[in-house]
Amino acid sequence: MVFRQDDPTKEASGGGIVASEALVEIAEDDALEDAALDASDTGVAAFVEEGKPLSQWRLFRRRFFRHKLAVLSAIILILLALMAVFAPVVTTYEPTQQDLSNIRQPPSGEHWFGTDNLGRDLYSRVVYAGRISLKIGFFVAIISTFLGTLIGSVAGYLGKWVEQLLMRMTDLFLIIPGLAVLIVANNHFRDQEIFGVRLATDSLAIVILSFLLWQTIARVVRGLILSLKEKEFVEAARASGASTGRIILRHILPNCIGPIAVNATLVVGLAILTESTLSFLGFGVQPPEMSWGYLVNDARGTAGTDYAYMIYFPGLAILLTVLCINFLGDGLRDALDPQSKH
Amino acid sequence: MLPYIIRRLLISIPVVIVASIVLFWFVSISTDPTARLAQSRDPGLVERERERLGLDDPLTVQYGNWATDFVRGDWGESFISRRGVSTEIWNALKNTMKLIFWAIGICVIVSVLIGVFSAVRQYSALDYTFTTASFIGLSIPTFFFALLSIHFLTTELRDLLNWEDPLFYSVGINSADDKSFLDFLRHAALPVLTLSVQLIAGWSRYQRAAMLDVLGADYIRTARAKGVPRRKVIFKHALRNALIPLTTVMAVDIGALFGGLIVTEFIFAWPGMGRLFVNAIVQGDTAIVLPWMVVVATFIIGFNLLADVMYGVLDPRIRY
Repeated sequence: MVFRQDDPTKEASGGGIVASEALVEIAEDDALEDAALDASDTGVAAFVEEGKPLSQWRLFRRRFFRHKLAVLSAIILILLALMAVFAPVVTTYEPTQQDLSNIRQPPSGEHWFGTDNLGRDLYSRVVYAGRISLKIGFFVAIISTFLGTLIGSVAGYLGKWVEQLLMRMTDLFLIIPGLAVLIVANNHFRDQEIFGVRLATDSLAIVILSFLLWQTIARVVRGLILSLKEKEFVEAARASGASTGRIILRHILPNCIGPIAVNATLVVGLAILTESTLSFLGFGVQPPEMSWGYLVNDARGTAGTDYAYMIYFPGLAILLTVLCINFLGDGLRDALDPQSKH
Repeated sequence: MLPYIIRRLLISIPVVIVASIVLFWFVSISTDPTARLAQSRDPGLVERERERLGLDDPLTVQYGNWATDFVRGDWGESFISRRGVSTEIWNALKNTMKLIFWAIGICVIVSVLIGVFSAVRQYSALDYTFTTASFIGLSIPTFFFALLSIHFLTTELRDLLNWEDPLFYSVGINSADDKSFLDFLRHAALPVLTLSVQLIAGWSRYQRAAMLDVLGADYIRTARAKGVPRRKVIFKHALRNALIPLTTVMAVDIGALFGGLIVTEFIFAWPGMGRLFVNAIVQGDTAIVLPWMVVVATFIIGFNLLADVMYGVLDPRIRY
């Protein structure tokens, strides 16, 4: 009967000291009691009716698949990601191939999304731009989740002045005008070498966005760790001589997976939205790279004309992606973190 | 209450100072005030400009000089317009405030109505509609919505009505020949609408959650059991308490708006803070950047403070 992902005995019993093993026994009972309490409002009914224990993973799946919109969103996102990965397969035109005899063609069977001012096929441009937009969202989420988890867990576990310093630093990001800082940083570093490398504009966007989007996760992780580090299983691990790093990585963080996953998902959406805004303003991704925001910027002048379809498709691509990510995040929150109220 | 406000005000001062130090450092590593002179034929010009601006001094000295001037009201002058930076920022601030004022007025009313209705009729068809709409509102890029509104509410609407001029304008704050209030409203409508979409999407969710929380409280059941009419319970007993969380969220969001209107003002050519900033960056007018950021950060800190204080004033259960 293991509800939680951590098993307090696994680590601590390796210590081989009788006293610590006794402590572990107690800790295990307590952890189980806690787990049972946690599960009582959500999982326990399902648990009883089948008569055999459900793994954490199966409980999660069961709760997640109940959320129809989130499942649909996940399917759409997988399709979008596949389209981005297999862009050369799903498009017939090169995204940069100009055809001046076919400029500004409205959407048709030949050009699904029409063609732009230079006769380039908008459908393949949107698909190829999706590669960059999705890549940026994905990598920003990974890097900022890593940063946020690192900073949040160090602050939460070590406490004292380390915590004060790190959390005041986190707070500072609340009061600086984020988009303005992004614009200045992007504007400056795109002409600069960083440690001898000149980053492509999409990689630069990943680096800069990651540095501005980790604070939510840091705050969430710190909050979780503050409560978890007082739990008995952590005390047991500490008593049996586990190092700080090991306690955080093996005992505490696995219990934070739910909220971290939810927030990481939401960061993907936020990153895509922010990057598209930057690119729209002309400060983000530059040609030859292109993102959805860049495509909208490129077609900005067509608002109010018959050619406004050039805005619709990249704009709708952003809207659809971010919407699906937000629904998915909502579904994950309900499934992974049943106690949370949003 | 008063000692608490004073204490909070005093704490805010070092926060502003630290923020200004960080912003100063950031701006000094990422902008180059002499970049615009790089094309000059005079080889000594860049050197003299660096000398004049004191760019070769240690950063601490530079910050000290800058901060002293800043506090005294000497914010330098724009490289492009040659007007004082403080004048530029003050003019832009006034226009941004006009936008924020109208947007907030509309958003408060609409979000509270949506929130209360969704909470009272929880899980009704309309509640689901509002929930879905707010998800879309939070997911739609500002610039996309703004361009759509220009397309449909300016051009398409004009063609539909068969008018000479569009009902709503999409550029600027006033027509060149018409400075009437009606003309202002016709210019402000679309930027305010763009701004409202995101605010309403967020605020109505907060209002719904707060209202649900309050409606489940014991005193509401007591009021109903006493025979107080349902309408009166909702609007008099419940709503008043359910407004408290929203006021704090609002204060924080409003503070962020002073620097957060970059996209809206850029698209609608609204001569406010956001447009000032983008233009400054595009034209290499770095003199604007740092004062702009410090002013915006100060607004954010100020409104965060206001949020805290209001929470205490509105909720008597909170004692300081």
